Amino acid sequence: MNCYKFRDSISLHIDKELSIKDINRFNHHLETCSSCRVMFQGTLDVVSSMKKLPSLTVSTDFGNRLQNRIIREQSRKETNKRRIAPVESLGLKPRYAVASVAALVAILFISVSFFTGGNDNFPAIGDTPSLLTREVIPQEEDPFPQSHSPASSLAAGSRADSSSNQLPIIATHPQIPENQIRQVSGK
Amino acid sequence: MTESSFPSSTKLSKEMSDKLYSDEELISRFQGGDEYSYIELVNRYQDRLINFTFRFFGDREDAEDVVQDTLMKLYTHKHYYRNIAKFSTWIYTIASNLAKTELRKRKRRPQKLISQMGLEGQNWDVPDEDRTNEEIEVQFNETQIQRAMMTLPLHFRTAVILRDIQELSYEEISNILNVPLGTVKSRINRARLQLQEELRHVNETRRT
Repeated sequence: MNCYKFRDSISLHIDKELSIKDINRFNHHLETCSSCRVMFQGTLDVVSSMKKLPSLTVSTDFGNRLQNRIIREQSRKETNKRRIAPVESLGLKPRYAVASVAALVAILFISVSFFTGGNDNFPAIGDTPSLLTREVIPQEEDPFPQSHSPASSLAAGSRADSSSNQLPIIATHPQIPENQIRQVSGK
Repeated sequence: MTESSFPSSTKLSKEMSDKLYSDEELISRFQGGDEYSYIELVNRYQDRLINFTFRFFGDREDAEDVVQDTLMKLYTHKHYYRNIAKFSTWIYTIASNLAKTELRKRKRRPQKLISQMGLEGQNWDVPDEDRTNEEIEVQFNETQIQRAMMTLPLHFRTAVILRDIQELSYEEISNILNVPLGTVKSRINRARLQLQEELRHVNETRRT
């Protein structure tokens, strides 16, 4: 047995976990190596000292403090029960009630978004080639020719008599002056 | 359990002890609603746990806080215990995890002095000549052992405390720490070797 193996076996020897064969090798090395002997004796002293350490007890008010914590915990539980009771009286568990309300709100929101698709303030789906901006550009003159196509009516800008759309389509209209595009699309 | 109905622990612990319920029987009764069983478990484990946590922290206040937290966990999470492991394994696991969490918090706080460790009654002066050599040695050893213990890495310290102070078996320590048996043996051995190295150095310094 070399010193490395001996060192690894010290605790096993102290705790009587070594086989008889390994005990013999251990003892043989112990007799022949003084540094390992010092290490072994030192470890024995440490283990022996730790077993002699005085046993501690909790402080005198430990029980009272624990009792107070338990009482506070019970009060907290009672308070929570009272909060949950109205929801439970409807036959709902609180977490399901919250989930139900959240789902209802989501459905309402989606419905509103869907059914307001034809609103004048919003472009109809499929009618709008592209929108660079939602800004309404006030114009004194109507630079764009009147047209019955939905795209051009969108590009007409803000006109009081426009019944279809008040948001101008700037970028795709061939007649839109270049400076107008830059003015509107950049922010 | 209201404040007025909280039973006297001293009286009831004797009754419980007389009947010699095992820890597993007590926790089972507690899970069934018998809060007197909880008191008995507290009485059985509070001192054992304080010895574990105090050697872990070296600070009495922190040690008692962790024991309180452990016993509160036992109260609020009693149904988490399943009778597939020993109760002692379960409660030491809780205490060990809470101790590690507290230690991480402490690392962010200023370190306390050795003199604040709560080793009341320890003689920090030159030993009195009237004392026997054995008394002096034991006193010196406790302080120095605790100091040496604090130099150990956390996982070594936990293992050696559970083995040499709490006197648990290797198997139980393996279950508590959730590491293989070989790892437990290795940690204990390395912890002991490091302690003996530390204490030998201290002794040599004292002699010079």
